[in-house]
Amino acid sequence: MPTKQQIRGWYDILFHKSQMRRQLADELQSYEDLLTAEKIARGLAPDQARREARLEIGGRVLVEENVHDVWLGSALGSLLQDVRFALRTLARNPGFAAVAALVLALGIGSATALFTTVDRALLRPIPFPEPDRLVAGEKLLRGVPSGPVSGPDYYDFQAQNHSFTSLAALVNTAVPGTLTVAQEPQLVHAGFITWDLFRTLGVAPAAGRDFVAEDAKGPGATRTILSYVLAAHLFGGARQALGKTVHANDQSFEIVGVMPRGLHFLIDADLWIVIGRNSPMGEARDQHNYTLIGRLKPGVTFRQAQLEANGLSKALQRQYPSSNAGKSLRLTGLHSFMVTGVRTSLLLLMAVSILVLLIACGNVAGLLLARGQKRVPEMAMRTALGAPRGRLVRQLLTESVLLTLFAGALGIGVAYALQLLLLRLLPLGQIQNDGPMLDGVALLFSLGASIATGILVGVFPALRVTALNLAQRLRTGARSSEEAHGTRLRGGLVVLQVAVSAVLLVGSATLIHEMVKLLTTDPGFASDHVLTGRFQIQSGADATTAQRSAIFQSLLQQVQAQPGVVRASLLSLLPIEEPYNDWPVWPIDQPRPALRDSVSPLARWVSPGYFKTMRIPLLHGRDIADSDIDGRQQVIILSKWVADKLLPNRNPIGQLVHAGWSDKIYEVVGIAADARLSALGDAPSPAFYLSAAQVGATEMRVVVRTSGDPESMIGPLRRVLKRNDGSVLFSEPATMDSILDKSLANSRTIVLAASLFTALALALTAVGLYGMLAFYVSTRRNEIAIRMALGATRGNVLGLVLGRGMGMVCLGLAFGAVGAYPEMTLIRGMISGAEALNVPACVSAAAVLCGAAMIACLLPAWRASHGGLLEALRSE
Amino acid sequence: MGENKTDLLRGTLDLLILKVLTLEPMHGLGVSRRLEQITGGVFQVQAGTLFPALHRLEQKGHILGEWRESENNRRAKYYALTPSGLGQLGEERQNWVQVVSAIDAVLGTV
Repeated sequence: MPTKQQIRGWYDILFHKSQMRRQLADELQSYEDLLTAEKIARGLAPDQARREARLEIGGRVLVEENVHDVWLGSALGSLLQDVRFALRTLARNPGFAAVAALVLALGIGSATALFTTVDRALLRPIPFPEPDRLVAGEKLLRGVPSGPVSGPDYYDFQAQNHSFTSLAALVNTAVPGTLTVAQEPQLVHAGFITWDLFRTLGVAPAAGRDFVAEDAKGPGATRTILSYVLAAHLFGGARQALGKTVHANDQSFEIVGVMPRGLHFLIDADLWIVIGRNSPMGEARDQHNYTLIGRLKPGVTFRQAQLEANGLSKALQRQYPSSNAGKSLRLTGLHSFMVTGVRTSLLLLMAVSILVLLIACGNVAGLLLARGQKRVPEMAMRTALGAPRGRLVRQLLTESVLLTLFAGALGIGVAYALQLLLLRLLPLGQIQNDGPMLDGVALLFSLGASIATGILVGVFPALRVTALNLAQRLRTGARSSEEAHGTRLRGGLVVLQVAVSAVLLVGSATLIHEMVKLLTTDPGFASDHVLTGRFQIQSGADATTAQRSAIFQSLLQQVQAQPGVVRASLLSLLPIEEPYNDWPVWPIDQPRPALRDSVSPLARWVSPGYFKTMRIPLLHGRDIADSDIDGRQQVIILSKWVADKLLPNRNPIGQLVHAGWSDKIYEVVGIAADARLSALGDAPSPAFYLSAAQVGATEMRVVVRTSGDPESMIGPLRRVLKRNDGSVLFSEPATMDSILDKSLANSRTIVLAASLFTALALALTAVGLYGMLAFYVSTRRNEIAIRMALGATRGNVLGLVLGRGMGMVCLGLAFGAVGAYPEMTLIRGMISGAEALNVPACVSAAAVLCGAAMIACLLPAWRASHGGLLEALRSE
Repeated sequence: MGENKTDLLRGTLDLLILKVLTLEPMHGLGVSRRLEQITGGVFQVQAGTLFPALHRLEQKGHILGEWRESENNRRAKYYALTPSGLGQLGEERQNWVQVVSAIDAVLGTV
């Protein structure tokens, strides 16, 4: 360690060089003066004395140069010397350097790549001023988080709280609609927000003004704020859009502002419409679609706000027992709210990548230990020549850090490749994924990780190699026991690696198992050969339910007539993609149940033939018929679960039920099988189906079963729509398979990433095991040769080496089993329905690990048993 | 081998300078004169080797320089031994004894 004086000296050399030069000149001048004075005292004339003094000193410039060299040398010399020496040592053994750097690059690269994602999603603050004071509020139903709160509850919270400078809300989904500008209709998504949402977030419009309280006063909204992209698309710019009017779903809106480019907040909206107390959306206390966004007052803590919310919730529960029993408000920091659901997965992957790095470190530490054993004589020699131990340790550390810095540079390439190929697909929650794949923070992380791993892998071998005293090291007899010790240490490292790999393998196998379960889940409908899309009747063309039905029916007939179409049907909301809209349903001989006690299946309205198109089995009764139109008896088809729950022990066909929010009476005409309409990982969703012709929506989803490739029908469908004077818009074409695929994309990326890292870990462990055994065999050649000379068979030797390797693997597996237990608990928290102990996953993990280990052991064992006997004996 | 030889000499000079400074703080010329005096004129240290050695020892923290008035009222940089320098002196002295006894042993046996 440098002393304070040394550091001071280096600092002066670097920053006060001219001052130091001046002082040196002064010093030499004083030396000359003193020398001259001395000579004068001895009786020389002043001139003579000065001349002789100068002569004696020699060239002053030369002296100064020498001293400068000393300055430079002490600051940089020892470091440069170390680095030069390290480079020479590494270059002398390029194979070792390359393998070690590559192994570490894989480890550092994976950790860096994952860190980039974690940084983007979890570490970086969300892009709003004072993000720590922003909170989101959602409903808790009997302690269970259950989505948005009701509009009236929101207004009560807003009026009564003392915690927030402002408490805004937005409707939790963007609502699709048709926007007409200059007779040109197009599909947009509208976000419904309270007037103060942008204020609460702290974002100002790029042009025009924000909403004000007056905008929300009237019964219907008349003003809108556009997203930058929509304004640019429609009007060519933000300023140009101001003051213009747009028509959406028969209403006109004046554009008062345009938000800045790239604003993305919770929902993807093209334009924002203000909602107020009198808005039609969310007037009931049992309709929940408001997500709360608040900004805490300065000095109010998160806890205080939550306590106040609890109190307000209690009051509401007492005041409105029928709608609010069991309901309370849960506050979450806005950032964590936005990454709900991805945090655990990302942190798990980060942990996995760090374990991979640790395994890589184990490998390289093992290599360094092995090399250290070969360098014992060199270290002994240098000690004999007077190098203190600290200096040797520093030298060895310089080598390992140099190695890892090199590996870190390579690792940046690895990280880039990982991000490019896979990790940029990782879900970030509601955080937008833009910006470069690797940035300065990632590079810094990589640098830090490199230096840390350099010290981690280097310090132990360095201390070991330099630990023995001189006499011991010079005595060759001590070498073999020293080697045995080193080999044991490497063995320990390998056991650790195997244990970590086992933990990773069990985790990945479990994840893969769950993924396969999802992929092979029968959704309850046939998703192959199905094209889906959105049909939307334009405003104006839809006077009555009957007219709307007629438009859809004629369209459907034309689609059916297309060659390649097996059957086409309409439904209100697509399976998996649109898993919402649950309605209460109850028999007419019972009173309307309180919402929380009611059976609330997913409500869908469909055209005749829908069940055939989607191949959902109809178990009893009949399908929706062409005759089930407006004005006739309203009909309903229940899914089996709903029928069993609602009408047990009687024939459900012909029974009458209420559904939804009106007093309409529906006759049960059929029972359909339950299908997975919400998510493949969930249980089949209870559902009921109404006749589309009796609902008369302006917007439907179309599902087309095709005989060939469903994507090839997109063109013909577009042409059909064109022929119909464009009164119906067709949009969002997608195959049903691609929708299922998309719903699994996030989990698949996570599983793929975990598997990739695990494969890496396994490969590194196998390499470590191989290296360790190869070294063991090379140091035991003599012993093995003697054994064979004394009659051991090749099989014996093979068994000896294999036994040693597999013994370590078994020990590692045992440790791994201990580590796998908490991991399984963690995974169970991530995936609902995962088993506590996934036996097939554990068994396959152990099998894969043993297989890889066997391969890694066989090669050295083979070499040991087939090596030249005489050659080995002679070599000593 | 050339490098090793200068290393040896350099090390020896450092040892001698440290030893001389145990008596009292001295300026460059003082050190040079004292060495000459003690060794009976065998070691005549020139400025070209003396000053690099002094500055090297100062960089290492073994000695500390300070400007002061000299005995005949001239300003000069006086070097004093630091605690670290005292320790270093002990170590180098021990090394020296080892080397000498090793060399003696070699000379004695051959």
